Amino acid sequence: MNDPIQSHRLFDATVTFLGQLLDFRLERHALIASNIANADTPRYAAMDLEFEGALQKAIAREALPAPRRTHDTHLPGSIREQLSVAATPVRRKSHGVGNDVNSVDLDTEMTQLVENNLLYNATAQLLSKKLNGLRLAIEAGR
Amino acid sequence: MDFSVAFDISASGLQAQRLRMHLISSNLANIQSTRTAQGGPYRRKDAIFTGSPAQPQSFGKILNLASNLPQGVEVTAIVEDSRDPKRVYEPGHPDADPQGFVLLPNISLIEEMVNLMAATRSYEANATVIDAAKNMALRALEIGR
Repeated sequence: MNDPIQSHRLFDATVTFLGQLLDFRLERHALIASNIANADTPRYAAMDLEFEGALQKAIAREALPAPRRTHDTHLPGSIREQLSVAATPVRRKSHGVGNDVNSVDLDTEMTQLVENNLLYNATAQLLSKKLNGLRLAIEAGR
Repeated sequence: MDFSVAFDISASGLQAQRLRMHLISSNLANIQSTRTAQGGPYRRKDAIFTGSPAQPQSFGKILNLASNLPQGVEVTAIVEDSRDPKRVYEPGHPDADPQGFVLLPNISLIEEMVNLMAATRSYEANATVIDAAKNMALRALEIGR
């Protein structure tokens, strides 16, 4: 983030954020895969990442007034440039059906798998379009 | 986190379900077996599934997340059913006791078929997850193309 060309001009916060989003989707995919692989494991509690909640929190944090340099002799601090979203896995409670205390619901997991997959593809496409836009500018529309 | 973790998790699921399927076929094949190497009739076998961390983790990270990490599945034990064998009156059988009763494995055909279907569905689910991960990886490769 110290290199002004990298962080401010060419690749702005959107690219970084979309990259983070892809990471997040991959992590969520691994958790869903974990739930499905353990669908028959006794006493396994299903896990999930709450992305929307984490994003809301990150945006709320962003809305707080950021420190500004009010004098030239002040030390330059790091300026918050991008949203950083951190989501931690949460365990889902068992709905009490079945006698192996396993809270994996295969239908829910498959739905979330497809949803997550689509959103990953959508994010990848956004990133692709963003980079294509840059390329267009570099090539001056040739 | 990279794609290999996601693939490893689903692969462990496939492996575990396949082993479960092997045990079910063994149970079905031996539904009439009265002799085994251990002596006595065949006993129904079942796999014990246990969640296992999918990737080597540092102690601190595991402590922080309190094991809320993606887990693969592992067959940690193959156990024998403790139910008593069935006693069937069949005086002509070479393994019959003096009263004419033969001990047959206590395997329920319906129970095994239900387990077989469950294992098949779980296997398919894991295969679908691998397919989804593959699609994601391919889409990631297309970024910037």
